[in-house]
Amino acid sequence: MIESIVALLILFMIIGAIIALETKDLLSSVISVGAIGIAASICFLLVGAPDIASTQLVVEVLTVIILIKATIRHDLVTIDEDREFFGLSVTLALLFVFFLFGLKAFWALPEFGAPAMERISSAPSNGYIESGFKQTGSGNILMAILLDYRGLDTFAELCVLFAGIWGAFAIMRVYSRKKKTRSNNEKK
Amino acid sequence: MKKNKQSGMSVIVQNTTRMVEGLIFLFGIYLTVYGHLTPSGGFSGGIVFACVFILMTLAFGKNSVLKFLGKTTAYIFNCSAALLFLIIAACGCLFNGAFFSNFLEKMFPSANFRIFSAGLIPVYNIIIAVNIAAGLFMVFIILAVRRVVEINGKRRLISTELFDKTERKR
Repeated sequence: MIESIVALLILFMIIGAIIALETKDLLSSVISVGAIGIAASICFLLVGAPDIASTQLVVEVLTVIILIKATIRHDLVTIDEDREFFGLSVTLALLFVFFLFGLKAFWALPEFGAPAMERISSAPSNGYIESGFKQTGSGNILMAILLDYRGLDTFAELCVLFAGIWGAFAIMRVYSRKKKTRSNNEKK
Repeated sequence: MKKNKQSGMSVIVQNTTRMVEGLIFLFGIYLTVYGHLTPSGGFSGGIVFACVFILMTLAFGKNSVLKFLGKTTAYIFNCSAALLFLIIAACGCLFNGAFFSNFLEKMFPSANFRIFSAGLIPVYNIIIAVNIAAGLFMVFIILAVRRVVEINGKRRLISTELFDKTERKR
């Protein structure tokens, strides 16, 4: 049951990604990126990670707001007509579905003061605490988890930071490559 | 560059920065090297390193820092640290048969609270510190160097770093 829903959501995300790449309108591209993020959030919720689902949702909402603010200057779409009954009802229905998913996420969270490592004896956190020092020799158990057991996660984190810095570098460039060659040719 | 034009902040700030910057740098080294023993690590140490350079840029003006750590040097450090991290992780494939396996710890098992223990974890910490420091400083220096100037009625983004160099040549 859950697998088929997740497969459908992944199909929806792939279609959304293709639309976001291929459409000519910047605003609809940004909105389809937002739809991909919300589908990913629902995926995380169904798989059993409500904390990551809420993080994904917050990041996605912020991203969509920032991207709309950045792209709205280039092509502005204005609506002159009054708000239709159909649009309003669809909005209300989607808000209700969103509320249901939020309720599910709230119930899926563990009880306060009872983490997963106490409820499930075979959780990996117990193994880290018991044999982390003997296996890695690191006195700081946080570094043992961050750089030894979960080294691949740290590497991906480093890559995300790297990509973000190079994105900032690309946005703040002074001249584009084409213009530079043109000005060089003019000088010659 | 004219000599009588004072760059940076006042004399009090400059003298205090001169006294404090070495200590802050030492604290960053401590945080990075002792990352596997005390609550610290490569991420926090790298941010402290970057903050030393940001403090120097704010106190003495950007030209004093750009002499020895420019944008190009910073991105060479950033890229090479990320590549080194991947190469050491791939060495685990060669020596121990798994990606990201701690092969130094398997060869010399050490569960004592010394600096040279825990195999590859201190090495990873130092690499992460270099990467974070170079990246953060690169973003800061790019934002500090660029200016928006009106040229012929159009707003253009120019780099004051390049501008200064061309001025010196003339």
